[in-house]
Amino acid sequence: MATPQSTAQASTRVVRKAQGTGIGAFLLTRQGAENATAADMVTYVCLVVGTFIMFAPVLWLILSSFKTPTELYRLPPTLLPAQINLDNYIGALQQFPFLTYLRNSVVVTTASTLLTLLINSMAAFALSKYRFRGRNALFMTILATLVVPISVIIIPEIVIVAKLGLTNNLLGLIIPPAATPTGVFLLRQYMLTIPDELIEAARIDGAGEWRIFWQLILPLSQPALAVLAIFSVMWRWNDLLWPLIVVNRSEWFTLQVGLSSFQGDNLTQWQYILAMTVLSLIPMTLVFLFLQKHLVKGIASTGLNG
Amino acid sequence: MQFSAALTRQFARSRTKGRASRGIKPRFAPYLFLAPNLIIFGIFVIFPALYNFYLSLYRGSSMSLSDMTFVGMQNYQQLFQREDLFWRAVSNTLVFVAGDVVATVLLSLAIAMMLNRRLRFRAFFRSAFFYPVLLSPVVVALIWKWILQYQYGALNAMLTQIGLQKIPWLLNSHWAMTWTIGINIWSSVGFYSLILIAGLQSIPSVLYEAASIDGASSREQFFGITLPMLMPTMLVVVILSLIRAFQSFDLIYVLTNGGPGTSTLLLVQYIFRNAFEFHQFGLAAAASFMLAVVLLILTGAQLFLGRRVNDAS
Repeated sequence: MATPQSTAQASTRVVRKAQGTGIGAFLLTRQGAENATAADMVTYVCLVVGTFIMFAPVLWLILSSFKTPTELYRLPPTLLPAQINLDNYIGALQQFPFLTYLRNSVVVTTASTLLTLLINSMAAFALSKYRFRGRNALFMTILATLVVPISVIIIPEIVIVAKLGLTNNLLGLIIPPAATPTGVFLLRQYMLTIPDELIEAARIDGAGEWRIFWQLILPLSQPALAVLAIFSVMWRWNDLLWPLIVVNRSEWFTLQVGLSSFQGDNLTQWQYILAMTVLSLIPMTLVFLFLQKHLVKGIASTGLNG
Repeated sequence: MQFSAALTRQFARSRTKGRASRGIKPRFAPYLFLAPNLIIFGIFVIFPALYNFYLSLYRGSSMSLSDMTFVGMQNYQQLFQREDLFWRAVSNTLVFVAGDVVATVLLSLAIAMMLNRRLRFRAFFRSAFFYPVLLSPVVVALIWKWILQYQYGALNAMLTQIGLQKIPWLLNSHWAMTWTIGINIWSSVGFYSLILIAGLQSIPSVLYEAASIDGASSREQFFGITLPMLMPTMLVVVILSLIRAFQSFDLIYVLTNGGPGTSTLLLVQYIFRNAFEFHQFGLAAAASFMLAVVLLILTGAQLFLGRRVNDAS
């Protein structure tokens, strides 16, 4: 964005005096013809502070998870642990059914994401590439479910899930959340851009509807499917309210449900809680490190979450 | 997006030899493709939403309707007249929503403006603000519970280092609410910033160039160009954060469990508690129906206002 010439020139004079060569010049050089302004310096400082605020709590968590209980409860606390010992992690695995929780979370997330990708792409295909009676009405209905707040369905869900025998059943965590209006919307928008001629050509060649879907549409929709997959992994892995409703026996708890039992005030086994919390945030951190570009693009294009 | 000719060539190569397809008839295909999605929506979203109102007309602590007694609007009457806890939850929720939405919109706008400037490491900064959004509310709550812990938490440790007293952050009703709002903002501001950045980038730069030729200051440009052009996106952010704030549960459940006492008990947790602890399903259904009405009004307002603003600009 262009700034008025006069302001730019005035601040540049100030900045040129303040910065020498080296770091200052490097940091403040912009990717463009403009010279750095004082506003840029302020912005930079704010961004650095902001980044610290975003990352510091997580870093503190990780550092704390390696400390022995003595170190944890020492006042004032040390910044770094004396050594990176894994006692807390090993102890956590022994004291709590952490591996059970982990297994449940992994199974639910993987299965639900695969199911989500399949049925949402099928629905999106139908809504984007076919003309049929009731198409718009059905699309509106699906979008309308976006509007339904979770709070209005949790009570009846308890009844429905029980009646269907899905209580304390991982299927109850896998199937119901798999139909997401956001997913259908996202995939439909993308599929609309697939040229109809390709489908026509396939039909002329004698391909059946399912083959068109499976072997033509799906491969071509990979970018959108990738974004939805990342979203779905994030939603299912982080979900708390729905699993709380569906499962009440600890052998079927997901990670989030297991960790949520630490809601009291008098927590005494912080060393294990910290270790388990660190383990729980590894998957999404990996997503962040390797896939955030896709996520950012996906959110910017839909502006939706959920 | 390139639909490679190679892909379609490969597909054509594997085609069946010419005859009309077996399998699904194109006429039925769309319905079959839509079926799994619609069935799940029907059973787990649409039916419960309608059933909820029906349930709110009954009272009883069992889950099956046959064991419950029909009481008509009495649940709603009880909510309005005798349920102090309900009104506590309502006022807590209003306080939370107001604080959260106002601060979120202002902060995410400021952050978006900063992240939109052409600076080095811009991509890194954008990701940095987005990281907490990916963390689960449970993890966020536990991270901050540890920092705010009264005796051993990092924050109180820093206070004692500079000679101040420790403060029972999450054990004091006012601080608990403040921190609940603050932590919620911490974990979500990056998301809204992204939406606003997209909005900022859609403002044509010719407007700014023309303005600077006319001699407008940065401030005049912000209020005269940026804000008005950003209105539709700001509206999206306001409504999205409103709807999310009204339904907050996960973070607060683990962070404070509604406490101390009931000072951070919000509506969804009130509904949850009525169902799971007090087994008052009818009452909980009535409360959730009222919350749903509020949310429907908000969503409707967004659609309506969104159209007005879009037409205006």
